[in-house]
Amino acid sequence: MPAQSTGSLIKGLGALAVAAALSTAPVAAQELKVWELSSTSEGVNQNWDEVIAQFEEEHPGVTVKFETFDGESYKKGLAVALASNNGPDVFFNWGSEDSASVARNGLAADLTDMGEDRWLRHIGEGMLGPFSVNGRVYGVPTHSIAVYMYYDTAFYEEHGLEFPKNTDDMFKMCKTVREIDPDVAFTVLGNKDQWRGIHYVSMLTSQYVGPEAMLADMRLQAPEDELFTDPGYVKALELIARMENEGCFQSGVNATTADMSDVVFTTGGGTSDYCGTWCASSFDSQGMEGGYSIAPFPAISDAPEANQNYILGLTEGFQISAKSEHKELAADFVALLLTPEVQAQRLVKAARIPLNGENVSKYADQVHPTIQEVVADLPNYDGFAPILDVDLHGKLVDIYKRGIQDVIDGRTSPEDLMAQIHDEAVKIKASM
Amino acid sequence: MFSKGREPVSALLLLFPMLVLLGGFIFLPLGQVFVWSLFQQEVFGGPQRFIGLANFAEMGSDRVFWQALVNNMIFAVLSIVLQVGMGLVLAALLDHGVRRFRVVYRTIIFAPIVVSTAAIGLLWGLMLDPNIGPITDWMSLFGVPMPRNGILGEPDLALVGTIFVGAWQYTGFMMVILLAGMQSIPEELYEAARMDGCKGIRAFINITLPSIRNVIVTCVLLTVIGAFKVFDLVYVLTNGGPGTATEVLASYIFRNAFEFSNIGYANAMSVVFLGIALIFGVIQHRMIRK
Repeated sequence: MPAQSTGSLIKGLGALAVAAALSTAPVAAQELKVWELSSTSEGVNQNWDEVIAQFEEEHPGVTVKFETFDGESYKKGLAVALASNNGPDVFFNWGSEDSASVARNGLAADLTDMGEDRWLRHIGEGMLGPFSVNGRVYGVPTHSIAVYMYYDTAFYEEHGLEFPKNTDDMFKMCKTVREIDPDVAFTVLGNKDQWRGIHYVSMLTSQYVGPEAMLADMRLQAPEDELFTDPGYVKALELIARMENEGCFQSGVNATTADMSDVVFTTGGGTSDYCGTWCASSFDSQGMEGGYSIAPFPAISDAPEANQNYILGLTEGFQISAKSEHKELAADFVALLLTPEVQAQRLVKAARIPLNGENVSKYADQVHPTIQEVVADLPNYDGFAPILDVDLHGKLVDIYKRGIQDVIDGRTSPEDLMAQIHDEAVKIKASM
Repeated sequence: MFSKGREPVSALLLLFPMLVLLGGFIFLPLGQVFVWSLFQQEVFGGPQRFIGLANFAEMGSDRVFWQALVNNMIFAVLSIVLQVGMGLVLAALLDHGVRRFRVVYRTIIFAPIVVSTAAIGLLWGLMLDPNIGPITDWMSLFGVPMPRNGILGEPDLALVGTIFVGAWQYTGFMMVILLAGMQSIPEELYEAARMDGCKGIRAFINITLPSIRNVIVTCVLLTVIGAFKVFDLVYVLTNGGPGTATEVLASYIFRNAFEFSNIGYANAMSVVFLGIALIFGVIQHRMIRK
């Protein structure tokens, strides 16, 4: 082929390609990247499909790229992704130190002036507290979670037992259960991945120390010489060590993962499991089919004067990346999650306790019975007990988590662990 | 052919792509690690504060750092005994002891090396689980008592358990290298020794071992380097626990960077880690030259 003809052909093909590209792009396509924790619950995933479909329908030309990660990978990778140019536009976060740290480091967008026509139509301004830093809003809460003792209803009924209401009764129950069957434990604790242990200790510490004093320590606001020195911290650790020593837990607490401990509970190796609201559907899918009841963690018998009317839980929500090029769109997406209908559907299908309960009564008969019980029970508490592993500086969390393993093993005394935490807290406070 | 005068330019041109890759993926990040080790930084992309050598000074009083370093050393010593020792025994058996199905045995023993370490960690985690793992049941059949927390939940046993799993994976690899070395020894040496009445274990000690000295040194160095680099097995199998019982340098660096919001300190430890790796690199280089 002559050179001139080849050139003309290339030009012609180029023109055709440009024309084809123009004809297939009537509007500028936009992609909104959303990151969330992964879930094995069919209801949760189905609910996300529906929310995304609704958003895409309301925003023609926008595609939502929805990506999920397991909790540990998510925590470790989020900040790195946000600092890169490939991070998400909208991302899940816990309303705590996790979201505050992202905000403090300039990785989350300031949403203070974006809520007026969006989420503030559905929730009160006061609810934004868990995602606020120095009076500015860096995230929007969408739902709450709470942690309860799930217990095997059939076991307790069959043996004429009542689930313990305080720790004195709990220790008696640990013995009773072992007498019935030495291979069955009163409760299960899978602390290989360390977060279940710290949830236990968070609850126990809150009962002894009280949430306000605890939060002052966790946020390093207490005076230096008082940080983590309340005797309640030591008592909480002593109590979990005693539970291990008196056989309240199944074998191998520190070698069992949280997931595996759930399996031990659902297969009858333990009569109870301290687990979040998200666990009900997992227990059902593991064959329990609602054969469990819920109760608050037994009250601490040796702290009768303390206000123990708190339940372990927190508010979760979404933040928007400071680097997002679609902040308005991202804010619309977050606002959609707070509309009455979506909130009700997330309760029904994903067991997410809504912050906006406007439409919930419409679907009352479709909500999982355990979640209905939780929704009815939560207003009875004075608030949430703080969770140590989401509200505390990362280094302190690690010392706490590993220290709890050592306390359970008997390698470290509660006093030594708290002294270590105090010293490190003082050091961190000084460096801030 | 290039003329003599143009050779350096041509050589540079040919080297250029590799230099760019090395520079971009090795030397630039390395320089960045050095620089970042002098700063305090909470998250990647977040603000940095210059603190000089404070991160290096902190290592001196960091109990976990020293424990991690000691764990790496224990990992190295026990891995040499298990991986190289067992590899040597297995290689000797396959070289002179076993006559039939040699290839089958070799393949079976080598097989774990082709499985990913993460998968091996998960598999052994389940095998050693004190609640559902079969090893507890097998041991009880033989009357061997198992700790209540299982091997991986017991602080005094968790590191040994992790090293054992590592040995299970890598012994086959060592065996293949050592076997190759043994098979290169001339048969005449053994024949001559036999005529002098030297056979069996004596032949192994007096002929085999000295003949494969260099191969053994290479295996030992590979094992030591592997023991200092270990991360994935520890992360999957024990997550550094219980407590800090199985923490190693790589996992502690990872934890500081991604969990403790302590990026500067993680970089400082990486610099020290690099120093240790360089020492072993130099030893290996000298041994090979010898």
